[in-house]
Amino acid sequence: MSILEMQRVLTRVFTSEEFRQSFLADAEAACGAYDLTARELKSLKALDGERVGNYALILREVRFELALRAFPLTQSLLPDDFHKFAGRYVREYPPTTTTGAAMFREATTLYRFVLKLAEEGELNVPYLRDVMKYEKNLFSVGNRLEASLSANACSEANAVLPPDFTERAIGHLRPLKGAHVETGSFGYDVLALISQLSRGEEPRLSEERTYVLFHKVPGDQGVKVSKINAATRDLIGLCDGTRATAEVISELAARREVTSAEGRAELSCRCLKMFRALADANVIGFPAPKPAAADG
Amino acid sequence: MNGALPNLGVGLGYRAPLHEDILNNREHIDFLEVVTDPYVYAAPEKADWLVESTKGFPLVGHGVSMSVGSDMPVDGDYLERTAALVQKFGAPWFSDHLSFTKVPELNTEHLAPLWFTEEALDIVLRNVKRVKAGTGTPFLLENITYYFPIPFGDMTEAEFITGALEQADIGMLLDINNVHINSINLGYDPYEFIKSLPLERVVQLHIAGGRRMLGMVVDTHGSTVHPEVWRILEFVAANAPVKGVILEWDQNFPDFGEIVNILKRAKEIMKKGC
Repeated sequence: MSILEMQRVLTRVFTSEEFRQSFLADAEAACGAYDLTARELKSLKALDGERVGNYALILREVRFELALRAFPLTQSLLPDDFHKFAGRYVREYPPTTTTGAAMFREATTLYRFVLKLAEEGELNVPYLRDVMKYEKNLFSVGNRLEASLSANACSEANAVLPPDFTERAIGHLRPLKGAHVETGSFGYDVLALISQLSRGEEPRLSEERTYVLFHKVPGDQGVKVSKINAATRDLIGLCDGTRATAEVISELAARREVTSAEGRAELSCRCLKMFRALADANVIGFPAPKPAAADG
Repeated sequence: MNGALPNLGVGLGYRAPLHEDILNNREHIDFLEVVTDPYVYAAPEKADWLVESTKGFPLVGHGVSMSVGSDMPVDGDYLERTAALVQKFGAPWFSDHLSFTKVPELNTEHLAPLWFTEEALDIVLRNVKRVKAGTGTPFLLENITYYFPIPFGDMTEAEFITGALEQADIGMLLDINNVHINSINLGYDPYEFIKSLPLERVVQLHIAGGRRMLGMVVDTHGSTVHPEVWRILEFVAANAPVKGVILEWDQNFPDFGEIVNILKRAKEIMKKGC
């Protein structure tokens, strides 16, 4: 059905500045690759070029605004003329085929774009990276369906944990940080920063490396946010579901160059306490091992 | 066809920044229209929280991505999720737009105009049939704002809308602000346009504000209702069995008292029109 071809041309005219320019210059040539009827081509050639161009500008702003909605505090930091980057944004990150939440997709893309602008020196805004990263993590953990499913799966897995968290009891289990958990490293005390911005205050903070845990509790639409230390961050980071608990502890021991038996035992004790706490908080899940496949 | 649907009165498009104001002004807001897309692929707790926290308000659903005008099948997963969501809302109806937003390889995430041809109408009818089969909740189609016509069609916009509504046997969400904006941008009489529609199928109305930019009036949902929109509302209220009116305000929110005043004025008009 060639109406689809016509719609393909139209969507490209609306979203690609390069194609739009070539279409407005010579519609017939620009549409050469499309299987259009003579009538469809006649209609496209008769489109009001100025109005079509204006509509493309409106679409550009709509995309930009949709992405910004996930970053309310970040918006308060951005310069008034930030929208001058909208054209570059839609050019470098054209829309794609999609299923799934448009706002999440645009927010993820905008985050990458703003970081790129900051690296290029186009945006020199204090605290911008930290605030935007905070809001991105909050949005990701709080909104995504995968996060909700992961939180539920974690809760189910932890329902049958042994009462004693010893290496013998859980050493073989493979702890898993799921989609309902994010950890972030920030250059400032980001919780204080967010608190000040939320109150409408101008932040005044010194650089201070801070680690933050974002996690979703089953059935709760909110996100729990808490400061953690580097050790906890490292431990959570190793819980990718492939390493057994004992392997995680051994890996941490190696990173800290803990070689003595006493040192290893002390580290193990601390890690197990932390694993217990993280399991109780539904941050780390301990899924039961899958049964081995029967020989055929 | 509207007879079986409840009369919901005059309400407000639900927007998260207005949540507390909405709860604190219940007596002025008869029902809420929820844009379904942010909830369709999100954690289910979000929709659960919305339903729980707005208890007491009837909710209707309003989508933006069904893309019934696209020459491709309706996204079955999106339809199923939307149908489940509006059922969770207990919505007496839900709506989307007579437009297209995507082709297989690209989603513009915005409502683009259709070419008013027989072939395009067949596509709409095919897709609306799929939507109706996929949900038990009555489905309405809304007229969109568009800034340029697609030339050399077979029929007028009013004829296209009429064909879609009557042949698909569905109701209409008549966006009065969109009619007003199109009448300015495209140069036609809004009253003649509305008279050409099957007004007995109008279930719900939208009112909103726009603003001038790029030499056109743009549907921004970010300002107060234009005086002409009020006049058109009076006309429609007297001529269509409307079951609900929603004020859409998405950005540049005013003091909530201004929104309440708009709702009050709409209620007065609807009362006179009945």
